[in-house]
Amino acid sequence: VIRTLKRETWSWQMLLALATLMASFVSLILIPNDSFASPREHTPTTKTLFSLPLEQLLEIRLDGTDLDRSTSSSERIRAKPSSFRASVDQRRFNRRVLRLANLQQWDDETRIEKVLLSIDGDEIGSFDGAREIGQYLNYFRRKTHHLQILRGESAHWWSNGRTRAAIHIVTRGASPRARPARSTPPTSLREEARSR
Amino acid sequence: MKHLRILIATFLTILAHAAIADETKLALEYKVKGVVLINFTKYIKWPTAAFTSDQAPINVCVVGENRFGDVFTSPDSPKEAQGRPLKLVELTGPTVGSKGPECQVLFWTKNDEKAVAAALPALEKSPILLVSDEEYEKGLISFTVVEGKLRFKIRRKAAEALGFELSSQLLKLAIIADD
Repeated sequence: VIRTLKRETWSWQMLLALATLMASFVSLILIPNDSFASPREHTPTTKTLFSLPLEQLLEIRLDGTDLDRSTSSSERIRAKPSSFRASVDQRRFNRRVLRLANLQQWDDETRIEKVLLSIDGDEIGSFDGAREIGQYLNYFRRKTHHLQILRGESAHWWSNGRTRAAIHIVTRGASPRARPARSTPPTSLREEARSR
Repeated sequence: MKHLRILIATFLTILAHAAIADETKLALEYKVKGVVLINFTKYIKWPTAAFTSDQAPINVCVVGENRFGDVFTSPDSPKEAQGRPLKLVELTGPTVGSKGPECQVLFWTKNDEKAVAAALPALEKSPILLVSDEEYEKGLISFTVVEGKLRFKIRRKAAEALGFELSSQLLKLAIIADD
């Protein structure tokens, strides 16, 4: 087979080129606009564009990059966790999220029923698996660039002053122990844990 | 010879990739332009003479190929503006002269420059929002791309002379071309 391939280098190369080309077309046709591998390549849907005010439409980069500020939260919900690559950062962040959930010190009878995610006050999704939550949150962290962790009574907030992401944990059974809201955000989870 | 063939194959693949990428960018550009075009109907008030009746639609006419994708056909696109139904009318170059006067918005791209140019002197006297693509700078509004973002130039005095009322919000975002 190798000998034949060597003899047929031309057709082999052409085959490879064609396969690459086909893969490009297939990825463009089959992958819908609203499911994307990388947020930087994301194209907003018509629905999103119509939901934006005129000044935000004029902020869209027409080459499709850096859509953070123009893509609405309803668009972000469709991002598939499976499309995010697992990375050290992501694993670390997942652990952070889980630790954050632990910090709430749930009563024994309390079960997390649902976790709501929101950006700038708009609910963008709800999830019930810790792994999935972690993957989404990592995405938001990347989108909003090193967000600081703030604590509300029933929600954890990430904010960089421009975008405000939040997880609101909906529970079943007894409520989590009340915890006073902080006026200033802790800079890190470790600092927050230390302050306890 | 073998290497040359490999080189050609690679080059063709890269070229195809570039063409696909360009097509995607162009699709986004026109999608945004289409949405902005529809947005104009929210910020601009036509003189009453522009309509045949109180219920007459706002005809958004596009000359030549409709590059806006699903902007006009999407269930999410607004169906009315200023209490009037919004209607997309696709015009071919030769019909611009005859059908153009029925439009409230008329958009054309560089490709249809010639077809529109002949009808333009007559259309410019009517209360039709003439919107041109790129740097053609004809009509009342022209789209332009500055630093990768969409901008639009408005010939404010000319528009107001025709009886258009331009909202301050729109003017704030526009590049005023004739002040």
